[in-house]
Amino acid sequence: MLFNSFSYVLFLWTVYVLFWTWRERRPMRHTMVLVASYWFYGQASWIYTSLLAISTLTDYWAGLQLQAARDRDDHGGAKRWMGLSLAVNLGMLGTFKYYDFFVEGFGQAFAKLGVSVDLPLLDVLLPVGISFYTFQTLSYTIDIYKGRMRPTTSLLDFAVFVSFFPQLVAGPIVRAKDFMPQLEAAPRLEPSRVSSGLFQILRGMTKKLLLADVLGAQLVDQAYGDAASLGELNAPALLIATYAYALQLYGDFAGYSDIAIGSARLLGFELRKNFDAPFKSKSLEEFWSRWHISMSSWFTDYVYIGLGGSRGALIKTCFNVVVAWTLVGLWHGAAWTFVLWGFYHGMMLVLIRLFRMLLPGGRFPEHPFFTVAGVLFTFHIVAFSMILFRCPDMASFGAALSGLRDWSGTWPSVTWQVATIMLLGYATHLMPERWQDKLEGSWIRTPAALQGTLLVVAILLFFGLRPPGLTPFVYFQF
Amino acid sequence: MTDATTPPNPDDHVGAVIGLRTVVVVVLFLALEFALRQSGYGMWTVQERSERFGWTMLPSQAAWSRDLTVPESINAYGFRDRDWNPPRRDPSGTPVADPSVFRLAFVGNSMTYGTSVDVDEGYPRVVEKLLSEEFARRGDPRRVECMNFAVQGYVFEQMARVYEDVIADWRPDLLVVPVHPHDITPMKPASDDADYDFREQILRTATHDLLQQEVIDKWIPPVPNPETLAVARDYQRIDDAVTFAPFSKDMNTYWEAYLQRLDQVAADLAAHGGKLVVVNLPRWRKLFQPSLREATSRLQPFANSRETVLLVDPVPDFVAPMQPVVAELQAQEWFEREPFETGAERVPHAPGLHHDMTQLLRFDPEGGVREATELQSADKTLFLLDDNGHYSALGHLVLGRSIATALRDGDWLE
Repeated sequence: MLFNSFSYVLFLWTVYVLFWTWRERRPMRHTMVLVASYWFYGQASWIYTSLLAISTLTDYWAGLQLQAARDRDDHGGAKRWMGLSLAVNLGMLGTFKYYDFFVEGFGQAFAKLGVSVDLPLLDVLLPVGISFYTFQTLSYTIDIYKGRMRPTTSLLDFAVFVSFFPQLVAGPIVRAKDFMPQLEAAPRLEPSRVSSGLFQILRGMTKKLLLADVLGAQLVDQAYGDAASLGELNAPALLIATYAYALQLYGDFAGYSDIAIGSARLLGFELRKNFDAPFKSKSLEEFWSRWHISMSSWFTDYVYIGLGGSRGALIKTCFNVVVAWTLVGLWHGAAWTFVLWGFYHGMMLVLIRLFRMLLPGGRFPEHPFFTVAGVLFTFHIVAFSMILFRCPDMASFGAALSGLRDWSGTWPSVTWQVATIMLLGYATHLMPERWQDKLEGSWIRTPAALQGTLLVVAILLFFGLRPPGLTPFVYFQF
Repeated sequence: MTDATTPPNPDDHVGAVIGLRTVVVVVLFLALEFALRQSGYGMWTVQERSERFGWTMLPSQAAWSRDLTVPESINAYGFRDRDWNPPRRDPSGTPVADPSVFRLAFVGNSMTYGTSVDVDEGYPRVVEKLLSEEFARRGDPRRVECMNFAVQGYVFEQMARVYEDVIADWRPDLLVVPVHPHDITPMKPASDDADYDFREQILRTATHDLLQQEVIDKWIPPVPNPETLAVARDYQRIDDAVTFAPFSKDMNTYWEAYLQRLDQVAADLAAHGGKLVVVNLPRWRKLFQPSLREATSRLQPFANSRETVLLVDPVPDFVAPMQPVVAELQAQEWFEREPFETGAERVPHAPGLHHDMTQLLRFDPEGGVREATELQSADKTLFLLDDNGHYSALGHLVLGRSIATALRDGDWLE
């Protein structure tokens, strides 16, 4: 079930009414959320709900056993249970997401050596959201292993944490230590939070339906169709398509996150902010603290710091950065374009870090010129990587690189609708945060009846202006 | 079990949960829906996507034609006709013919569907009425039943599938296949073409129609999907070719495929005791280009070589009655400029007319009516002049008479 569908509106409304009707009956409330979440997930694939259940049962059990081992100072036991959790979660992820990729890679490598290796391929659909919920449950067992939290004794609560539908299929990746206490606390229906949740959902729908879907359908998808269509683009056309894609990807994923956060807020839960106007970033480090925050912080906490972080020599730190970001790339998808994308970001972060060491005080002077230059430079570093991110294969990326060198020919024509949406998209993105806060504040203070009227207008706009059909969210493929 | 720490909550009732917002949203949508329905939105006949047929009509719906002039009632089988008894079957479940009924099944597209014409005025009903009178005159006790299986936009491949999947079980005595050159083109898959009002995911509302008509169709450019564009271009190329030169060499492949498929249907029909009636549909264009080649040139050899196939050609019955209309249109110089040229490559399009077809309208390029002239011969036209070539009620009457006469004179009513 897609967030941008009418079915989801009805689904969310039903869950909302049942949740608050049973707000004083915790087992009933949580059972309902669990059933609703599995039903929500089952709309994509009922078979794959079994993976969700396996991950839930394994990590619930491993969490309890880990704590027991820690309590009796059995470090070997704790390691074994941690190993089991890693094996099951990464095993599922590896099997369903990476098996075919690596088998094909091995086959091609051996073929170059003149050896024919014919390993069977799984050739199955990637279970939706597997990259998200496996990382979420892993953070639970790792945190217990590291002594950062104690396990829950309620299987029901843990199952709700793993399968909570607003963030199940594409994040934000929730940490157990943030979410479990919210499950244990009694919910309280507060009109201002309900209004705020609705505002988040409206904002997310606007980003998805009026920004991402329109730009994707009207411009990006045809430009980035395949190597042949990319080969026809000259540099100006490719730049415009890439600027549009940057906005599309942001609108799509940030829109999803906004709807997830808003949906959770309607049920009294707070999820971490996942996007924070990333194209305002003055540096690449800042960009990654504003874009897909829950994922980048997960990799920072559990991979980069796990590898040693910046505690060792400079060369070791640089190595850790590149490894962590290459893994970020691989997390996004089983394709060389993603691996290269992650490696590129790792290398750029290292180069910027080294360059910064040459600056007095390790930073540029505070001056509007440097601020603007930093924003533009960072945006283009990111935008270039998005070409790689969007290209379906390396051949297409090669065609795009050739196109970027071609400044001959005419400038592409863009319809006024697309031009308007791009301008509005970037303008609203770059506007001061306090304006957005003011807008949200005004919405919250608006009487409920007027909010209802505005909701009708918004729904008409969404369903009137979006492209025909339902466009899935980009991050569902990860 | 309850939450031990739950504080007293002032909003402790379901009404507070559902909230004023929900009530306002529901009431506003209902009010909007009601108001829009009064304005005609949401009243068109709805189609569904279909893997097998491309599209089908939503069964059991009472709706209106696209121009909101004619009510359209779609039966439980998804066709614009009265409700039918299910096919008869023997004890083993095999379909058998009903000996008390002389059954004619009509396949087709908008020409047979009766676009903008009342269902009782469509030519299948005319045939039914005339043949019933003929059977009564002959003292034949069988009831004549004409079943209309036409769906707007169908080409012959879709009609053949309707025969195979739906019609065959009724074991019709006669299957009537009207032929327009366009029918030989390949079947188009269901698309988001604005011509088809596909049912939305949950329900199709007047609000949806308003958005589709006033916002999406006017303001949102069609999504330029290269894959579907290529397919659409391909179909357009075939459509253009079949419109302007349906009997050219390029079209041979399509005619051969068409006749082969028609032969399959005829053979299946004959195996169950049925016969095929092929009707060469009169075309608007023929009125202005008398030398225009007709599909009969392809169909006659086919019909002559098969005992169970009859070819009916009502074109001569259309040409003479339309002369006053053609003469008046020509006298008013309606064809002096694009797109009303005659004899040129373009089809002489129907002039702009009010739906009551009594006034000719000249339009300004910027939109709006520049000039209106009374059309004296409006009541004689056999074509709906405002939609580029479907039949008027009078046209259906003439067509139905031609078919009934051919069946009677050719001894095809046994």
